[in-house]
Amino acid sequence: MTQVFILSSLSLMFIGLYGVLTRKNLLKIIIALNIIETGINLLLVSFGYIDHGITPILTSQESILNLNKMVDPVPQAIVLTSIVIGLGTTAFALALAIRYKITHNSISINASEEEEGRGI
Amino acid sequence: MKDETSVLVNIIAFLILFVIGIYIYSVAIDTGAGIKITDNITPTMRVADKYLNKNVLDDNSTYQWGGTAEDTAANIVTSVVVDYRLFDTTLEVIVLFITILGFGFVIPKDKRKIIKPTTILNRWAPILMLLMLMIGGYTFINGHLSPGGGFPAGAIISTAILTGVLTGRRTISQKSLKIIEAITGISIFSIGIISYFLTGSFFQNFILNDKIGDLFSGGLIPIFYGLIAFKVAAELSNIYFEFYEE
Repeated sequence: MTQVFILSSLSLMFIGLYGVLTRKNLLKIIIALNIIETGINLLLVSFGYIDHGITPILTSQESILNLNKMVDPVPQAIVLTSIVIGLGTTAFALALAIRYKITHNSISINASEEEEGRGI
Repeated sequence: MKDETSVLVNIIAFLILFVIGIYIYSVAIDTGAGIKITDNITPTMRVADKYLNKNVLDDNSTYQWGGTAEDTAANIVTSVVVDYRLFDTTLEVIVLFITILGFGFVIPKDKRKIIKPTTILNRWAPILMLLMLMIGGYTFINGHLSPGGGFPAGAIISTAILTGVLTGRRTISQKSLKIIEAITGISIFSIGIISYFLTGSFFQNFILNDKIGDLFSGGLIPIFYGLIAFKVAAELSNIYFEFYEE
């Protein structure tokens, strides 16, 4: 089962990397970066996976007896942190994209004709 | 299309990434000497064992349902986030604050076209806002008993404010958002300093003898989660206001 997690998270990461490398639209690049982030979060959570595990939340005396069946809580706590940071950085990237649109009058990262003509 | 790269470049990039991906995957599932991520490693072999058994300070301590322990949060992920690794969380709050600060500097202040809301959104917005505020409040009050906590609660509360922004109603001014953010940020660290003077270490829990499973348990966890919820909500609402500036 861990192999399925590794395969899916690796494919998400490489789909995102493909998007970053080949797209020229800034918004598409930001979406691709978010896909990479999702893949990494999935990989982190899958490190804590155990077969037939239960959630690490105590509900009764019975769940205290089953502590060794619980999944690892530490990767989940770390992913919680990384999701919030991801939201902040995405907002920052979008603000930069708006600024780029105003200064270059285009959302594509092609060099403008003036810059190309200036060539070395 | 002129805006996109040619098909040949796309195919070459795809092939290169495919080869690298297969290479990394084969390394990840390789069977050699040492510990692999595909091995069935239970938390008893990791640091999580200490957090699950709540015996970080004293090796032999055990706990019962309804009894007291060194950390009385029933949700163990919460006890890791807000008790055992609280430095991580507070520094993360600072990182989020700096990101939003940079966002405020970078975003250009110009006039933007605002689409007039439909009648359906206009009528439903107050009801939706009330429901979202209720769910957000529930999420951070029960953060130590059930899935949830300060960060999701902050996101939900800020969504309520987003609904108000979309209908064009000014539910809260940006200045009061900044004041809320400052007060919550200062309180988090002043609680840390208070606990330094009471117990001798920074951010250590000083509300003792509460029972696992009660609503008022977990020591400082509900207080921190409430503060974090309002801070995150203020910061995220700030983003929405900046994007939708008139």
